[in-house]
Amino acid sequence: MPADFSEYVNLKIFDKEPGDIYRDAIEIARLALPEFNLRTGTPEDAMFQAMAYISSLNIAAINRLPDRLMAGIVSLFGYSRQEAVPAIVDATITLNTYDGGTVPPGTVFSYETAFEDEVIEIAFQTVEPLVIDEVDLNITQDFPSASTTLICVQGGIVPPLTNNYPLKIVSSGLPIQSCTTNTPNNFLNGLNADSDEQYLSKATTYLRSLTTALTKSSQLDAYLLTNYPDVISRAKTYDLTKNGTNETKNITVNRQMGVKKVFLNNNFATVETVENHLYVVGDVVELQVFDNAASAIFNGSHSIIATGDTTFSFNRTGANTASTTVTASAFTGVPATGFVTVFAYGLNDFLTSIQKSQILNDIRAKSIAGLTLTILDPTLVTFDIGGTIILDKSYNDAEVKLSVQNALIDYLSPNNYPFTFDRIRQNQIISLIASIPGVVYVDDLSLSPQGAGWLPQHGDDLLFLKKGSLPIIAAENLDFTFEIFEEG
Amino acid sequence: MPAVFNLLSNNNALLNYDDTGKQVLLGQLVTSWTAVSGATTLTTELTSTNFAVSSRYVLVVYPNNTNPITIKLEDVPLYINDNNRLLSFNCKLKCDSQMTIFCKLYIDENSNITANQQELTSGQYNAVQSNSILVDDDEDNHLANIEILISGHSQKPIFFTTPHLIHDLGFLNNPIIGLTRRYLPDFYWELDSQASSPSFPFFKFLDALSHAAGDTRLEYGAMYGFEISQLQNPEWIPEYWTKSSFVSPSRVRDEYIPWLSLFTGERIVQNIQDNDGEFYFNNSFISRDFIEWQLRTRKYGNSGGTRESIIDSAGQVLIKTKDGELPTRVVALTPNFGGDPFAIQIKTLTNETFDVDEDGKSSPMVLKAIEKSRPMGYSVKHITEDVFLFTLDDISLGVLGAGFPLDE
Repeated sequence: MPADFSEYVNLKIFDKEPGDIYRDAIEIARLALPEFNLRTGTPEDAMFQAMAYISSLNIAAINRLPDRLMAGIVSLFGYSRQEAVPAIVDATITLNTYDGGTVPPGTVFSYETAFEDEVIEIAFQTVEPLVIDEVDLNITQDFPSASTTLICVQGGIVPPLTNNYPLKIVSSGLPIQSCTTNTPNNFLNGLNADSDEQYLSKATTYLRSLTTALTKSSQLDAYLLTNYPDVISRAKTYDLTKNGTNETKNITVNRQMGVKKVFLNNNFATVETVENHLYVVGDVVELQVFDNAASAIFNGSHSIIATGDTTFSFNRTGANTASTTVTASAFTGVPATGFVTVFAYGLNDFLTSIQKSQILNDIRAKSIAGLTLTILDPTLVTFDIGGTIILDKSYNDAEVKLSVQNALIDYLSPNNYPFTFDRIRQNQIISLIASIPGVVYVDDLSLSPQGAGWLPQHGDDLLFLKKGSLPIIAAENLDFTFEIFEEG
Repeated sequence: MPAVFNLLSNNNALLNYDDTGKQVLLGQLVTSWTAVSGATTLTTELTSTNFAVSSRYVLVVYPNNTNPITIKLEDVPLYINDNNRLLSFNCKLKCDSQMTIFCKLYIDENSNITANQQELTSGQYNAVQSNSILVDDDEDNHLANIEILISGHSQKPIFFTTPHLIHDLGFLNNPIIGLTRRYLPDFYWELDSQASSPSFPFFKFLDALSHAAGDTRLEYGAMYGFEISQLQNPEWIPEYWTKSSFVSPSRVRDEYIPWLSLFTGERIVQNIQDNDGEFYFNNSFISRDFIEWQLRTRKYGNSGGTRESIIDSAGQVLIKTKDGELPTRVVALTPNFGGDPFAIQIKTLTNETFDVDEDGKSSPMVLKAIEKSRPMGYSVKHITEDVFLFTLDDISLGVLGAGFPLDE
């Protein structure tokens, strides 16, 4: 079954139904034949309808071609769609006759289970003939039985079967008394097929990774996600980024700020910036003071030990100075030529050092010689969300509250949050909550950083301190007041 | 697109819906159709009653006496593609009186044409057909004019609707018609070609029936370009129609560009903005050229990261000059800039660097243009120069006879 790529790019030549074709044909006939007047029930009308129907069949056939071509081309490039694999289980079939018999392939058994409050029936079938010998009544009075392997009729993951579980006999006309799963039943669950969306996403990433040399950071991301699907779930490459310590070339985001005053008091230097800065304690900042005697004292790299909104301080040995107005700038997180840092996250966990080492060796071999590559874990940062959410009274408020909690925890997780974002946007969180059924609107919402990993907060958004940061929150980080919407 | 379509605008076709299918209310429709009696302009009104077909409004003309009146539409602009094509006009008229009409279609000022005369019956819609006329085969855009002279109306209201200006032989563009003709005895064609008002009624009827099949066949054919061996004349190779609308960068339909870009290894960049938000590719032709370049060269994708790709990428935003001269699109690239093996400097001419006015400045637009082809780990600096001088030991400017322009 080919994928439908129309969600991504509509490759259908026409999307017309027979009714559209019929109406268009009448309009065209009127254009060229002004006396044309199609009356219902006439042979002409029948011809128009028949032609519209036949045309729509042809169009439907042709419309399938591009999608099939797409799947074929991607397959030629070496990427195949993950097809569904059915689950299997061992079971014992018992006949209701002492004479024995053969259970033919395709004999269907089933069991019922509840899934999301809905009872569903899962069917299994035999795939080979099962010969069950007759019983010697001198030895046993039990009906004859034999063990076989049943395969699920549908592909994909199904609710697991327990040992010694009685299955319902669906196929009729057979002398079967019972079918029960074995102990142990060797249940092996199936694999789900790629959805169209998953297939397209994987295929496009795969095609982007098709290069023998990795020269660009986007190629490196695609290469990692395609070649290590069992190890890496998220990857983001920052070039010009060095994992430096005690230097301005490090993995913090690039920041630059004008400086207007400096002074030194008791070996404690203080710098005043022209506006609110984004430096934090621990940052190593390079100061460049121009055209002033202060440059000899303050120029160079310094580790910040205290900050205010427009000031930061560091230790500096020297004679005290008065507060001096200067032309200067301070910067950190500066680009480091020749360095590339990859942030990769595993399957719900960090990569092990062995995995990182193996992957690093691989990408080094395929990248530009001379580059210094590093693989790091993403920095997981957490924060609190508080606010007031107005709910629709026609909804069950407990369910809506749970939906809000689940949606936020799910989205603000290392597995799902976009790796390209440099901040948590308040508006985006509001939009996410407001889109949940049962929420009328978000009355107010605030974000509060917890722990390290954040830049100073000067607005509603929270900015990541380091490149490759991802958020992680739990239920205890959420503190909402829920109110019921009162009309009027 | 169907082989036969209306050359009149939606308003002048009296359509009650727009191109998006949204209904146009009666009060929103402004038509250029007028009615005159001698030198007097007559009262007309649009109505949504007395429909001939439900998709069209009706123009009602109120004669002020029994003298002949003329309903007319002047100066309908034709495209250059309409030159050397046979045009005809048709519409429907109704009046509670037996009328004689002379329907005339002429091009530009050439009104000395014999009109098509018809007698119309009273109390019902009658089809009205004009003469057919060939548009001159020249390099000019022409204007079509339509006049319907009506006499015998007995001063009763005249209902006018479904005006159509069409290519009279447009149905021949439907590939199904050509195939059908091949399998029908010749006398069908001969008899049909002798008909008038309208001409070729049978094949026009077949065109209406098979328009969807014809459109599908044309589109299907367009998706598969011609192989060189299939072309009878080698001069046709560069022709637009020989390429595939599916996979050829020069012809690929806009809707398919994201799909085709998969095979370049990178998503398509539609345009490049300067720091003031102004788009560099400010018309559809150069914007399309930029996209074609990405599809054809893959310099933003799998071919990125090389010296050639950086130079070529920078050249994309050097196609305009400030002095109106033809651009040279010269880019000088210096590796190991400042002694850093991972630093690259590129220089462009100030005259061709759109967002920089002075020598020695860096262009954000040039840097944006090369960002997608920049090799990872390398920083790129840009600077403008008024003139490129021969520079010893420079990998770009130290080449004798390389054709770098000197300031005059």
